[in-house]
Amino acid sequence: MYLQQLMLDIFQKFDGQRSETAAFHLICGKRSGQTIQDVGTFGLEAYFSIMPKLSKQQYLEAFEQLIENGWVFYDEQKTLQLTTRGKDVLEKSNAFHFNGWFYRGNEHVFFKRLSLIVQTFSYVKVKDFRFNPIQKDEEIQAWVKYFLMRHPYKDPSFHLQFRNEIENSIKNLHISEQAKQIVMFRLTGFHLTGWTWQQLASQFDCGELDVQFMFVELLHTWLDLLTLESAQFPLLYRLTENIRIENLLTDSTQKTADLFKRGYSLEQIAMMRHLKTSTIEDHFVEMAMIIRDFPLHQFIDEADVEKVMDVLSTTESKRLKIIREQIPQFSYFQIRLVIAAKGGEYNVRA
Amino acid sequence: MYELEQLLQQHFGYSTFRPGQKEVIEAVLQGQDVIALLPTGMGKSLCYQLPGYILNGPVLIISPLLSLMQDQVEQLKRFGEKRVVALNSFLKANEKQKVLQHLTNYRFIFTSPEMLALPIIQKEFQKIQFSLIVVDEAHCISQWGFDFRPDYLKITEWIPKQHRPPILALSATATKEVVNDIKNYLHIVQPFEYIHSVERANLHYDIVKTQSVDEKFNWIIDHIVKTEGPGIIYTQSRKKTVAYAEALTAHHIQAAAYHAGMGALDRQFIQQQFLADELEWICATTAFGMGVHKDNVCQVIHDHIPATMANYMQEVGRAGRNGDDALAILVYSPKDEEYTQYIATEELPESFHVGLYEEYVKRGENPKKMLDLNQISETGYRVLSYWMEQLPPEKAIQKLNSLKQQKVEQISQVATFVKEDHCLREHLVAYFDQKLEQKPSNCCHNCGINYNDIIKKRNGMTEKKELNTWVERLHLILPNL
Repeated sequence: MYLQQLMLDIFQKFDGQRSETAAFHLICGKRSGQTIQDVGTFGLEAYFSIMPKLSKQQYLEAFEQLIENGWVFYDEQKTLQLTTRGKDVLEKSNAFHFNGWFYRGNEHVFFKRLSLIVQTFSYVKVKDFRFNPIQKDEEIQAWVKYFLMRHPYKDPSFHLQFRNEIENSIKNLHISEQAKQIVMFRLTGFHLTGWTWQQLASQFDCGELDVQFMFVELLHTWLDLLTLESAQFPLLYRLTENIRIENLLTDSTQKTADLFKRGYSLEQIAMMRHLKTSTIEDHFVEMAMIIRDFPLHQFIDEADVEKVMDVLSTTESKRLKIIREQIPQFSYFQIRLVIAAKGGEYNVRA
Repeated sequence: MYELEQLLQQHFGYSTFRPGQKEVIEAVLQGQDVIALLPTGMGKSLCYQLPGYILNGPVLIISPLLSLMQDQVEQLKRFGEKRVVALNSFLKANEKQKVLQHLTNYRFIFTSPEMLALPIIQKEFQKIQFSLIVVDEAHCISQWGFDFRPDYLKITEWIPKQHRPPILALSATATKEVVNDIKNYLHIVQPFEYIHSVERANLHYDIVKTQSVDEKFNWIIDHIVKTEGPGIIYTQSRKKTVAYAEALTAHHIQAAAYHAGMGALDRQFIQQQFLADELEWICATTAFGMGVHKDNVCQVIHDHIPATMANYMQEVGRAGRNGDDALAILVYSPKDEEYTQYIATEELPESFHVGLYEEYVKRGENPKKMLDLNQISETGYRVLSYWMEQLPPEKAIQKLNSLKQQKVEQISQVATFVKEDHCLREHLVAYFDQKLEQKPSNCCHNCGINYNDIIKKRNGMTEKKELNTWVERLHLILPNL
């Protein structure tokens, strides 16, 4: 149900211009030019990579459910649209608080650290120093060990300070009580083992995936808060180390960006990297979207940018083909660059 | 001279050995090859852990299951051992490199048969003077080795024939046949053998015959509602594990499903909940059990005919580890034998797969394409390619047929046991080539059995508990001073 509401929101933003497959790639966080560009074009940063492990089968089942419920349909032009009932459902559902673009799965690393620290405090309290760690990942274990060594982890008042930070930060999140419960029940303490997704799903009478999405959503808002109010929650803030993604470019695009910075042209980069020009163009589009001072004017004149922007804000469609028909003097690449660089602005204007 | 008991106390905090441990350890220390059959939960691991502190050079432990390996590494770490490592596919490339460069720094090195098949590992291992090579769950060489785990057959390839370290083969249950296989494949000559009796006087065996799958399901739920756990239901499909768990939860019984399709953390949650008595019943596929040490399990229920007697023995053996009376019930319905046969043989390659494989090779293509084209399962391909490399095609077909035959035969042995009208205990013990000294009261279905003498009746119905709020839960885990 939660996944379906989420899909409705994505389809609404796609506005009939992308298929359900594009939404799947978005949720999984596919690092392809098309998906990254969709993020910019339709303002879908929130949902990027929120469930990398989602299987195609699970997704298609959820999609079929949407069709069966009569919430979405394909119209005569074969575009995916919300029905009136679908729009109604979406309007009545709570606003989502995902922030996938900046976390991309790293939120789980944060939670793993947290859960091992909490488990340690809980066992230290009963003087059990030989407990079975709930997190097996050695990197996580090493990180937590490092953290504990630098804090008075055997001191009960320190545990309380840590607990207060958890309590006071979560209290302030505008998110359902259920999501807060889910996160707390995924934690493990002395004789208080965490619950499986299946156990939580049957408790809340929903699907396992729904529970997992709510979990991720809470972590995103929580991480946003901790980043914003780091002074207020100094201990938890330390747990967010290297969690938020600072370099948003994908690896391959980063290489292209480095060469571009060193003065090579698009064509030269394609040759040097043995990649197709179209691939490098994808990289540039991604760069235009992410890098704040991307030199757009090297590819299209200032005055022409305005022309493209005008067409973008007056044309309902976001399909490149339809847009270009009105301004055939510009290449697809130029139009894509403008969309990427100015995505936010013309969305606001429209 | 070292005093074994003293070392036992010093490193593991126990004052006495369990039956068999000392004999096995002494033989190992004398440099003999050893085959030790000790029941699960009786401290098999100690048989190599203690020698690790006496012998010079690392001990290599070959373990078939990653989860089991993880469990043993953690156990050693909890005893304060830092020089222990698991060399398996979970390690990232750079970590693996680091471990390989410092192999001699470790006291205990765990690895899997798959890892041992890699040339790079073999090369590094040949440089090391291991003090002991341990083959854990050695019955896999025979039970699975022929088909599902061909890698297990290759684990000794890299070991030098001359001046090799002694080998310790460990298993919980094995017949004479299997012990012979172990000797042959590990090239063990004249080993010291310690064979613990498979007889467990506190286990009581019942067989329940039902007419249909539905009746079987209902009988099990009804039985669990009336009696007390903790217990394990073993079933054959992931779907069924969830169905049982949901039916029991509907009766407010703390139950949960367990199968290999769940995430690693979720599986841990279930194991730990069960250990901490937060869960009363586990509804599991055969994936559950290895490395789970819970003493107070008092019931094990099978809703199917297991694929081998050894499987059955291992699974019921998880009950009554604390010595209290425990109940093993096998509930079956008419088509069960066929169903187990279907499951056990569905992944085995057929003779037409041999033909396909041949065609690919003839065309100069990689036969692995069969996998991409969904012409064969992954397990099936592993078996097929192993035997195609070992044998000419006609012989491979024969081999595959005989494997299938073997599986069918093993299942029919279990079916014979289930339909036995004499003492089940005698049958079990005889199957493992041992003799029964004496029968306990409430012995089995055929000798007469009364549940009330073995397990407790459930006392009233458990109430559905209100779920804690998030703040309550947080305060429970991290309580006030």
